[in-house]
Amino acid sequence: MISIRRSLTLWLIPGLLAILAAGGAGLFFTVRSILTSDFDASLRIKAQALATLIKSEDGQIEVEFLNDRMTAFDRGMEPEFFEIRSEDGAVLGRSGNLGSLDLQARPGSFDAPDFRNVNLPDGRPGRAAGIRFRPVSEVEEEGRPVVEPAAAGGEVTLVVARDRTDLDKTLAAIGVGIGGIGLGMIAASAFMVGTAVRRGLRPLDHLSDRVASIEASSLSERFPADAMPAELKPVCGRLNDLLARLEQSFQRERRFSANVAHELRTPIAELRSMAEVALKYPEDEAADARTIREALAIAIQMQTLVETLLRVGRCQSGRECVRRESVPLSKLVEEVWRPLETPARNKGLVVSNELPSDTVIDTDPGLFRTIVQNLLSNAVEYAPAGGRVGIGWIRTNGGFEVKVDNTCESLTPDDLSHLTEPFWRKDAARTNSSHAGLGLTLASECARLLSMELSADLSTGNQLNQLRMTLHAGSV
Amino acid sequence: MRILFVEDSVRLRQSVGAGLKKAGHAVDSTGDGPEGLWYAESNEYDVIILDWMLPGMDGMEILGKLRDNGKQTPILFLTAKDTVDDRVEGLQSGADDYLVKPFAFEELLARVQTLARRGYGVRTARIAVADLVIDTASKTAARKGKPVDLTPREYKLLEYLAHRQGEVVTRTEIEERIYDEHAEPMSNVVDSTVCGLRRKIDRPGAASLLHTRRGLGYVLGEAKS
Repeated sequence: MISIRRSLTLWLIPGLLAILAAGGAGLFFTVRSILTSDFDASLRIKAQALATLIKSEDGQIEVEFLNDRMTAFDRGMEPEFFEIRSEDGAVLGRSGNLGSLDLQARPGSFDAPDFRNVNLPDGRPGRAAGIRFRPVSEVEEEGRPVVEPAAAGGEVTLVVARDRTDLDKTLAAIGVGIGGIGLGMIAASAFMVGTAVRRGLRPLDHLSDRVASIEASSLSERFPADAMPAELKPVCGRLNDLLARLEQSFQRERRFSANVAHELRTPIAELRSMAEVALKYPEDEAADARTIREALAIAIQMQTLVETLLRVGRCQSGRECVRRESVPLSKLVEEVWRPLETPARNKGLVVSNELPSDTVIDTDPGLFRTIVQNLLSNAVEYAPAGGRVGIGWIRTNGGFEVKVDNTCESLTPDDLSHLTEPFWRKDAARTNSSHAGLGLTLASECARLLSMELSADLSTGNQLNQLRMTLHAGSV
Repeated sequence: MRILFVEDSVRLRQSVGAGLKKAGHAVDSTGDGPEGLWYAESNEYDVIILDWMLPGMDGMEILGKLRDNGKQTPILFLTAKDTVDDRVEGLQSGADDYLVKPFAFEELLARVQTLARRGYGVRTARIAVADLVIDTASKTAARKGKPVDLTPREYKLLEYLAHRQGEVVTRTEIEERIYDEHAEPMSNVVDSTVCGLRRKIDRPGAASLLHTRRGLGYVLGEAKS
């Protein structure tokens, strides 16, 4: 399993380890180089100083050893060693403490000796500097001694060596120190990395725990995006959006279940109670006839409900056939309006019809009739007495809109998003059993099949609001 | 028994209300939430049958207000809300019983009678007053094993007095229990019902069980010597 924590740790610790190791090694080698350079510089100076004691006289090489310059070659503590060879390799002079050991060196120039590590007579590690040069000669000119390079006698090789044990000890101590500090830093870094990763990922752990605790009953909770680190704010924002959509969906589902339960259970309860009471307490024929008429009315109501539900289901699953033809809009609306005329008149509704008489639209007449029927019957049903119902039509870019509006009393802007929800009704008690809350659902599904869209707007007025249902169509 | 039935479905209100009346109960009914609350607060009922989804004020709110005001009347929720959460919510909010629509009328009747019995602290359908036994399930009475033929009004009165045996029941209480809001109780009807009941249960040779406390009311029980 991919783990951010493990991934960060596996990258950071070896990375830090490599950086620290490289740094430590670099430091050590730098220090070693400096110390060795100092050692070599001192050796070079020594060799150059000794070289001044080597002179050429009458073609012969002579070494003038001065006691005060030779003490280093005799001492027991950190002794130095030298060897002088002629051009042909003959030993011209060497320090007594060399014994039988030869100081091997590939000589460099007077100013740039060749340095190399050597083994000293008692097995100690040493470092040698070798120079090749032409000894000077001292002649008298006008009674004064003058030093000049020897005209004859050739070059000599001088190798000076010194015990490097102390240098090595110093370097070892520095190495151990750097190593020890490095190990300590690695351990501290590993701890810091672990702590930093843990602390850094803590908000993610908290978020993860919160997400894991979300259930169907806690969808109203929201994550505190403001309190989150910047990297998690967008994640929290999205999660909150998702929760809001889930909550709405669950609420819609709960509403639907409750509404379906009411719409289906209540008429069945009515039918059952009527029948059971009539059977338990039989009365006269007139009472029986009343009971049977009521039962019939309930059966018809349930039949309508079932047929509407099935039709909505067919529309949603695409099994409702669409057959387009030219439909005279005004004539269709007149036919739909006819059965609504009496209820509208009884309520004293003011009706306005702004449909042009000659408009013909290309659509499925059955589906379009269903849409208009539901829009107009809803308008008449829910407009208050003395209110207004209107129907209009406008041409749009490449299409048209049919508008049905009515005055209404109880709808609020928050209700608009629910209007086409199956079984949604403003009256939570669902007292009026003639409307199940499926009309606009069916109208919306029929519109979708016809590639149209049904929208709702509410404009608020002083005493009454106006609901407008608009059917948007792409083509005439 | 006096029952309040609050249900917004007209058909259900009419059919169930008629059935409860035919079963011998006095029934007040309304389809409106606020009116239902007013009825419940203004009168004493043995049982209230309450729909949940009501216009104006839902059943849960009515229940809450009644319980907050100390009303202990047994309440049965009669509703289409059928989930476990709904039932739990209804019962935990103070309802005494919960019946989901559609329902069997006989079951509603039995549950209502059980709630009323419980309201009187009676656990069985049979109430004994000395050698007089009243069977509230079959709505019959018998003294020393012999059936007593009672009119519906006489039986209602006997059952109420039996639930309150040993207590003085006033005329007003009798009127409230025996008659629904549509009846016009007159004082002599209560007297004549009491008289008719006494004649049938207090037979010659048997100890008198129905006593008048002048100026106070009536009490059913064995006479205290």
